[in-house]
Amino acid sequence: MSSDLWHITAFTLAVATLATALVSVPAIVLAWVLARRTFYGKALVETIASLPLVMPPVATGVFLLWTVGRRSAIGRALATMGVEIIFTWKAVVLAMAVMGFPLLVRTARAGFEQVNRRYEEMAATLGARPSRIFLTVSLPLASRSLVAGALLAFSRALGEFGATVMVAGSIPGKTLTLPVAIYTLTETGRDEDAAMLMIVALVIAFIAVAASNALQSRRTHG
Amino acid sequence: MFRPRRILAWVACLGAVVSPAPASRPDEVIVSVASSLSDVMAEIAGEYQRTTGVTVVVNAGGSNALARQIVNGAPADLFISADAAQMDVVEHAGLVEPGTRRDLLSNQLVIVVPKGGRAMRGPRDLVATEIRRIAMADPSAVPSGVYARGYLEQQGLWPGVKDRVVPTGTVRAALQAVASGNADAGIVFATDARTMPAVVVAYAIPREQTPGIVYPMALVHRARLSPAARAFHAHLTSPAARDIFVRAGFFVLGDRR
Repeated sequence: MSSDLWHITAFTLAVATLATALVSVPAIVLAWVLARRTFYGKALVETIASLPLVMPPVATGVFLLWTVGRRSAIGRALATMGVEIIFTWKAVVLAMAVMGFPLLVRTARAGFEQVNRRYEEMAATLGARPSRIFLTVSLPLASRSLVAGALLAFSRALGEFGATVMVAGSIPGKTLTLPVAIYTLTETGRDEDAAMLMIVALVIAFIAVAASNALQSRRTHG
Repeated sequence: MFRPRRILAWVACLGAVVSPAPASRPDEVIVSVASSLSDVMAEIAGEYQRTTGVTVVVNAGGSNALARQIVNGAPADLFISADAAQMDVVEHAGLVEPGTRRDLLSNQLVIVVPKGGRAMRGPRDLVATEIRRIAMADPSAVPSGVYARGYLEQQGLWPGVKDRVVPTGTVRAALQAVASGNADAGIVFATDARTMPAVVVAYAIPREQTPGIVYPMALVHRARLSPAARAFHAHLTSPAARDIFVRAGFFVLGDRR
């Protein structure tokens, strides 16, 4: 496999990891809030948090382009600080993070809902504050769901295409990710390279599925 | 509302998609054209339909992608590529109807910048530090990008420009990247720039400095080539079509090959 293809693979794994790491804290906190709290506008928050899962990825990409593009208010504000997003690796991370976010929120929420409320209530009667209950009771008890959710978000990020091509393009060595590379290589007639990347994607998929199965079997036996 | 005719039409579409050898309807011509031709072909197709009643379906895209679609069996009656290389791909696959290939049009490359963007005196300004991203069709395969790269290499500017290139799948996507301001400059065809009010032509690249730009067209060889396809192929070299091409800024070529 050529160094280009290795670079594409390593880059994709790196940005997908970064995107998953970036969304994990806000997604887990939101998942806990949705699982344990009721508040005005909760249904709206739930809907918005699920949108990237339901909308066509390209539409999400266009939305991001309008939100952080150079002509947008946010884009201009960032530009004055010297930060550019569109057509850079940051745009890849952004697209992957947005697309992976709902998967982590949903899986983590289901995990928190499975935690027996009584443990949390006991901790509260013993004088623990909500933040401490979250960190020492809810989080450890839901940890398998959280890891499973993170794995899902990571897999989604690896496969991200529609939003990525809109906001990051396909710049070789800069923003070209594995799925986008498979597409452009096929379009430009480099079928052998595309096939190599397909095999890479297959190997990664095997590892991801094996990892998630291992998590699930531990859940049923433990 | 229940519309049996509409449902029938959809079923027919489905049939056309699924059936292995799509036979085009006698009153329909499918043309696959380089994306730079999308507007002008839509206009010609509209005119043609009004005068003859024949529907011309325009499938616009990057010439390289279209060529591969055709080689892989996509239903197209006529193909117009923005360079000879992509027409060669189709011809080498034995899919060009003998005697129907001819060089139809030519074009010119221009450097565009977003409206209100920075002025440019010449191509050397492309390597200025303020120009961080230059949008162009993929210089490794998509015709306008291949031409642009050839020009920049000949000018000795390619090494300085290479790392700032934002490659796109079609010339129109490059144009859009400049129009949105997300690219600082772009290289597109002159005819593309005319369709987009949000960009300004900063520099028109002299035609004699670029590799020869040609748009070859040919009928796609199929088991049953429809007379409508032949008629539309002939229509594209008629004075009526020529006028529309010229108005859109294309150079109409006369030679036959």
